[in-house]
Amino acid sequence: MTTLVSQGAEGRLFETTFLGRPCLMKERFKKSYRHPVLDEKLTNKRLSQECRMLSKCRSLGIRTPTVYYVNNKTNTIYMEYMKQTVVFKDFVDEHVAKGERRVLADLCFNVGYTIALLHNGDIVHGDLTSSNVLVMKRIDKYDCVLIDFGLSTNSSLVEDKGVDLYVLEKAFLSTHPNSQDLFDKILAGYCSAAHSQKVVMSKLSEIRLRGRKRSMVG
Amino acid sequence: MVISIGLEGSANKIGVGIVRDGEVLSNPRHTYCAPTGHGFLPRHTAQHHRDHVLKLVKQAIEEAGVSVSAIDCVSYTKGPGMGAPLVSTAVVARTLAQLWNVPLIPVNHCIAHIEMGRQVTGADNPTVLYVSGGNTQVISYMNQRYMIFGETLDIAVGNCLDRFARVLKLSNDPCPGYNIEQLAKQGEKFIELPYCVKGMDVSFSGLLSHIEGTAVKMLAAGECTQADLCYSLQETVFAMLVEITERAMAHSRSKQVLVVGGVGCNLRLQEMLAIMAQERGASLCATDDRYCIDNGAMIAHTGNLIGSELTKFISHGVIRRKTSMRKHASQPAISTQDAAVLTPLSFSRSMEFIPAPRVKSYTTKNEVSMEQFILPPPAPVRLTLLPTTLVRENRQSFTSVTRKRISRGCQSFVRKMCHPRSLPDPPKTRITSATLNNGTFRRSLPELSSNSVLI
Repeated sequence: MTTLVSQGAEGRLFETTFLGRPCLMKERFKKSYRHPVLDEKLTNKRLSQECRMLSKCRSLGIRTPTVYYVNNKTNTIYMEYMKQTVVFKDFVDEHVAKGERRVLADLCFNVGYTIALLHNGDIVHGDLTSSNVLVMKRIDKYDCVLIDFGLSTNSSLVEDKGVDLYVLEKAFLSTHPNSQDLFDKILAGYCSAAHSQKVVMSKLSEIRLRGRKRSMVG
Repeated sequence: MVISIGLEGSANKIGVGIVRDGEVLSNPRHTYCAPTGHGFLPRHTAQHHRDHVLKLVKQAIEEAGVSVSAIDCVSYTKGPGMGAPLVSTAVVARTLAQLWNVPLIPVNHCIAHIEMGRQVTGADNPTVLYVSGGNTQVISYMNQRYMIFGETLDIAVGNCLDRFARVLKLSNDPCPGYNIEQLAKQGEKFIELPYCVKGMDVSFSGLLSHIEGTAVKMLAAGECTQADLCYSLQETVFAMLVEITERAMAHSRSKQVLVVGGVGCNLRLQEMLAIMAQERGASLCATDDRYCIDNGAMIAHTGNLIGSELTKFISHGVIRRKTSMRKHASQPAISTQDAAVLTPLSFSRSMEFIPAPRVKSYTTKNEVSMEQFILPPPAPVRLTLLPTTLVRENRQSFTSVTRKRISRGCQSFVRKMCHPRSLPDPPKTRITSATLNNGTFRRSLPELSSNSVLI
């Protein structure tokens, strides 16, 4: 029995079973708008990258869904279905609406800490947004789970880590307006654990100035 | 019923449009085509605009069949764009506003594109892909403002295509992108090119240097044709654009996508977006070259929206017109400075910009509650911020002619600031335009906050 859970940008998510165990199936379907050669190249690359990173993250102590099985003919990954989790984006929206910023601040610190662990292991996520982080309730606190590693790469470059944070900053601040304090918490969490935090932070401020027409006067 | 005339000249197109409540009455345009193998330079483009703008204004009025007295406001592109062409257009707009004694309304170019796209296609709340020679952005309207979700980290997509056309020595007439599109239809072989998507952002500069380097070699060796290169380039860059749009749609859970900007009239891009939208159960809203490419009508339409909003603000006493301005018959009833304060159509410092006004429910009670305005009413502090933006922009792009005009505006602002209640020590010297220009004025006002440093 397979039911569609949601459709992300990369693929469709189905709820199904694997060897009798409930699991989530992520199918990277063929994007017919792309040239077939390009599509195949991208899909294969992202599929293998995602599996590799999901398991590598676990060895770094970052909670990610466990991979059960990969079928590279149909481009599907069977992985653990984390039912007790909420998408970080919805979690933020809900708690901002309720005015519980204290809980959020702690969680954001935790998210930053997790990203630091990721970067310490020389993994760059490539698509950090509040939709790609799940929140899991532990007994007295919230933990975060990283997902969607399709664009991730192995890189020890400060540049790549800086861009990773920059991408998160833009996505976070445009999705959640008036939440600069929360993003500062994420950065604080990042700085608390990252090996090369000073260099990455100065790179980040350099990258911020790069975009075109940043001031958009007019 | 409001009729407005809009002047657009932020890049190599000069356009004049007349719009009556969203209905386009006329929309003539003239394009500056640089010589083959070159891009358009600000100086030449500005000269082109100056040569054609008056003819276009006349043509627009004749085609629209309205008399000059029927025109309610003049709107012009305030930015962003190239300095010299912007100035030549702005000078014409200001002169017209003073001649006809109507309000002058500055319009943000990006918002004008989006608002026109929404008007033409009837899109309600789409995710917007804004792609042109100078901009590549994925924008969404959330929490009462337009937010940039993704954008290019270096050059714009149109810029990438234009520069590649120069390598192939394709003609700039009517535009390089169109010629690439036509040539790409004959392409058969797909050449793999770098593909660079970072989250919801894209980067084109690496791709461009790669293709500029290999194109010459491959063409010389006879490994591919020009058409193959165009085809591969289009396929790759458009796939990147569609992908980031899809990411933004998934992130904001949007069911509509609107494509605007010059590159947006490329049929292959529209086709790819339509397929993507269909796969997601969403729909594509696209327009043709009349509205995708820079035009006067979009400026007029957005000016119209702002104008009607301004009137509401004024009639409810949320803001008052500057009385000093009305003393001079030659001055427009709402000055540029007023409009800049009232219509926050400028990007704020971060990546968000305050939207064109959209009032959904509006009642005419005597008591105006602030919630009725979707736009926040301008706080007094914005006034002190105003001159900085003017001055900054002034330094970047304005000639001495406009600088004088702006100084005059600043003067009235300063007079207001110099009121005993706002400043501890009123300046002793009388402020004239002469003192403004020779700099004594600044020395006499050391107490002004850092935000209001003048020229």
